[in-house]
Amino acid sequence: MKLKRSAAWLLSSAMVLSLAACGAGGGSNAGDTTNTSAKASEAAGTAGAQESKETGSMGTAAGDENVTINFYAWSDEEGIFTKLANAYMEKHPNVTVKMQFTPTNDYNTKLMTAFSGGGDIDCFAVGSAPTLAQFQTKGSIMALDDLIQKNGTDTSGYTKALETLAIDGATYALPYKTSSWVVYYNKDIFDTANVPYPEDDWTWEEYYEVAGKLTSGEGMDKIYGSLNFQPTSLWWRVPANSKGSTNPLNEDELHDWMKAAEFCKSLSDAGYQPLYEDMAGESGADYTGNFLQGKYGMYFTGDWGVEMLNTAIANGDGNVNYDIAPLPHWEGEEAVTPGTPALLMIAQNAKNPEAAYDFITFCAGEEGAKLLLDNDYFPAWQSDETISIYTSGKTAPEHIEYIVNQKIISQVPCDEYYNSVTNIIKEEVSLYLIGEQDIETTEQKCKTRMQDEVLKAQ
Amino acid sequence: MEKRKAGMPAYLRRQQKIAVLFLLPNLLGFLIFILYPVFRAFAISLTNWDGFSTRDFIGIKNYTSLFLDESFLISLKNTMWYTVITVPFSVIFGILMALLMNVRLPGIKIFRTIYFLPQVTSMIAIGLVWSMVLANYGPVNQILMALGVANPPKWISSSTWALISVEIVTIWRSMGYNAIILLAGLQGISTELYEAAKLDGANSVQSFWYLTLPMISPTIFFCLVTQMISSFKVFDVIMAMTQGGPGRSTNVLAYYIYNRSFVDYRFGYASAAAFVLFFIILIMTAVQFVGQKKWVDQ
Repeated sequence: MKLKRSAAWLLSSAMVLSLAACGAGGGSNAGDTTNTSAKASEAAGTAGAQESKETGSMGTAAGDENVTINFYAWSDEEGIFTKLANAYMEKHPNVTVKMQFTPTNDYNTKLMTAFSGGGDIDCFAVGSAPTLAQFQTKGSIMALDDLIQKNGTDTSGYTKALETLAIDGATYALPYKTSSWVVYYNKDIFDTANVPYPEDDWTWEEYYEVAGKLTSGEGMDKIYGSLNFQPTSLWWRVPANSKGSTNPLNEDELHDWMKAAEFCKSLSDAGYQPLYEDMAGESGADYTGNFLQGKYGMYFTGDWGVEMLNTAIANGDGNVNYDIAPLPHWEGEEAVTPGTPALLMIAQNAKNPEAAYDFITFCAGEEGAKLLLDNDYFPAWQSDETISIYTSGKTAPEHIEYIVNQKIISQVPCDEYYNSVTNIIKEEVSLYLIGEQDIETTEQKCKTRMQDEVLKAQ
Repeated sequence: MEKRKAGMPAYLRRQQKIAVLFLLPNLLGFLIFILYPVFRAFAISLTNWDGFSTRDFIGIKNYTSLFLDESFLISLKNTMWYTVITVPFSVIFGILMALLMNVRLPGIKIFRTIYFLPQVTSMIAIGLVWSMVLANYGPVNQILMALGVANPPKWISSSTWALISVEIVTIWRSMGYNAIILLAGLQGISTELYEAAKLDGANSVQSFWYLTLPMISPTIFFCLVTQMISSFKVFDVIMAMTQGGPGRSTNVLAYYIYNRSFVDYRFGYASAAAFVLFFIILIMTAVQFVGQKKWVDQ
């Protein structure tokens, strides 16, 4: 029995220990290599410039030598980047693009481990500007200005985007695709309710009214005027984005976010969309699927909705007669739509920065844009040609041009604390949306928690 | 000790060396993959490391700020509450299930497998199914409404019930596992003891209380300790069902640590939180080991 007891002690202390090890596993592992990676980035800072001068004279794509580029992206992008890389490798037979795709939720973690573990990474894609800011502050990405200048890269297709993405005047990333938000609507529901389709220019107040007119029925047969998303998402903030309020670290913009939450909740309170509390468990919900059931009049989402709806309809997963309208704006405000440019950047300690640069300029430039367009993506590269390719030959939705001809602003700021503070805001606003906390308290708690847990804590 | 070692016969000493040799592979793994990272994590917890670059020594500042951090205290409270509920219930239900399974009926093995299944099912799948079961208009609430409950709980969409929902899922998931372990304990009890008790006039309640329970008390103790440790470390069920919400009502320590490290990139701070959790578990386990002398049959 004594033996048994000491065995139990051993066993449980091993379990306890393994916890602490888990807690720090990734971290401590990474710790070993910080020094080296910091050194490497220092070295790359100086040597990188030198190197690029040397290789620069050889022209792009690193000549005829066999080069391998290690590229990382999240798994949603697997299809398009496989096509882009194949097209690129066809033109440059000496280049092999090795691609690694990681599930979306684990992608940032994966990148971090790749960076701190010194994994082979030359270039990679990220979905938004705050991530760019994070990698930039940590010194793990390369400024591209020298490369752009030396190679005479044409950036005319995304000049505006590059301006908003600059950090301290330097360019760290090239946008390859962007997005814009539009309203999707079910034409049949409009026809049945005898409501005219939304016009070019409309306001959130009108959206509310239209949603009311489209709502009908009871119980299982109820038709909702508007479709909403689970309270723990950030969907409710889009009306605030539509007036340029994108950074909640700014007090005025936070206030606009609260107004947007109030607007979204008022739609639910009026019965024009389901109650937020009934959507709480819907973390994996498929909103395209919901819309395809034909029980929702309108919803706002990004341009990716077109591909999702068209694919679902082509696969026979439902059929809805839909069209799109521009995102509404607030009364008296200019009509703009938020968009999130997805970005390509080069690791500070990339083994083949020149080749990587050539590859990312291919993806982000005109040629890549055409490939993106062929696959129903919305390239960041905008020219009259790409806009006309985008709209031509598309039969559904009828007004596809709204996706590309709206005035697009960046939906997320280049702020490294954005993800941390939106986490706090999500927690507090979800309580408001399910009716457990009033809006004043919510705003106040967001402010204090942002201060205490993010800004003061650094 | 020294004396005894010296007095050890030569053949035993030789064997001892061989024993160490056999233990070495395991010991090395433990040292490299567990003990070393633990010490590194402790070192990191005294810095402000962000996962990439600067790493300045800041002493115990992380630890002092933790106890002023409202979110940390909330997740600490939630973790405690979660443990207090899930540990006893999953063991009690485990005992009851083990008793039910300890009969020789045709096909009982199939049931044993079924009860064990939740333990080997992916938590994501379990989370998805339970989210549907506990949805506001899901089957549970429809049954409750049919039974005349006018306002059934909003299980995972209210701060009041969300933690309870998660606890229910955990108890459901782990009781089968405990039952299998306890069943092994039950089957180790000699039938002669029951016969003797019967001859002495004990009824079934008495023989359960005075015979079965003491006999399986070491197994119960094992279940309690492992269950407690895993409940302090809970993460997957939270991730799969509530993501810590609504608000912070189901935010637990492991989830808090995850967010501090992989959303905020504050690895020093997160490591400090991990060490606080480590010490809590260490103390609780030590308390259990001291307490066991009073009730575990040695």
